[in-house]
Amino acid sequence: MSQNVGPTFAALADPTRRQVIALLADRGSGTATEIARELPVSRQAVAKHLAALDDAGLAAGRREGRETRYRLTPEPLEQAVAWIASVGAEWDERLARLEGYVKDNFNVR
Amino acid sequence: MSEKQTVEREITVPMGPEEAWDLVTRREHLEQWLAPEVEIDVRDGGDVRVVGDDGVERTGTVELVDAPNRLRFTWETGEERPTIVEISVSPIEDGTRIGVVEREPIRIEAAGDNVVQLRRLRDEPVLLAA
Repeated sequence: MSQNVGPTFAALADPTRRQVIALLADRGSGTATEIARELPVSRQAVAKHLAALDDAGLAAGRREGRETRYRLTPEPLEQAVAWIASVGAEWDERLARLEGYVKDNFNVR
Repeated sequence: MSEKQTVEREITVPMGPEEAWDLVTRREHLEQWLAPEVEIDVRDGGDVRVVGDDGVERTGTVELVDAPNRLRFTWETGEERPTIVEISVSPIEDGTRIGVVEREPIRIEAAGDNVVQLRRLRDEPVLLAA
């Protein structure tokens, strides 16, 4: 539960970072440029998220020319992280729909 | 890994808890936000069937109904391990908080002095010193 999350899970608090993880899980690996193409954030922002994931031990980077290519660290963390990222993204979507539905259909006090 | 796999989210809605409870239990509301097809028989042991935007069907069972505060059910796609979803409704100042927790089911069993056995469904038991 949230009161005993370790540094691993603290690194997952940011929704963009979870999307970055989900993309790394889907693609197998990625550079800041590649990941930024899939997200509405800048390459620089993605690079920071990737570096933070590296610091937290969730991803590992290897230089590749001028870029760094990241992969999620091996199982079981990879599976756990991918599960949390995908289930979390699903609930973010559902609850965003619920908020929109309430806004459109209920008289706000 | 030792951390439990848990996802937690919450939102606040500008209404009372009874109305918020309807949002999370009545089909006509659930089908506006949870998934396009939702059948939840809201009583202990009731059937759950949810079909998502992607056509993925989840089925499960209602484990707990504590109106208008808590609804807990299991669901699974058949391909992945079943998980438990608990939706909580709590009155706060100026509205109601709707919380969602989804996690893997872990049963805690006493297995002798100072040892607690955590058994994940379909997994090997994990023994931890209490």
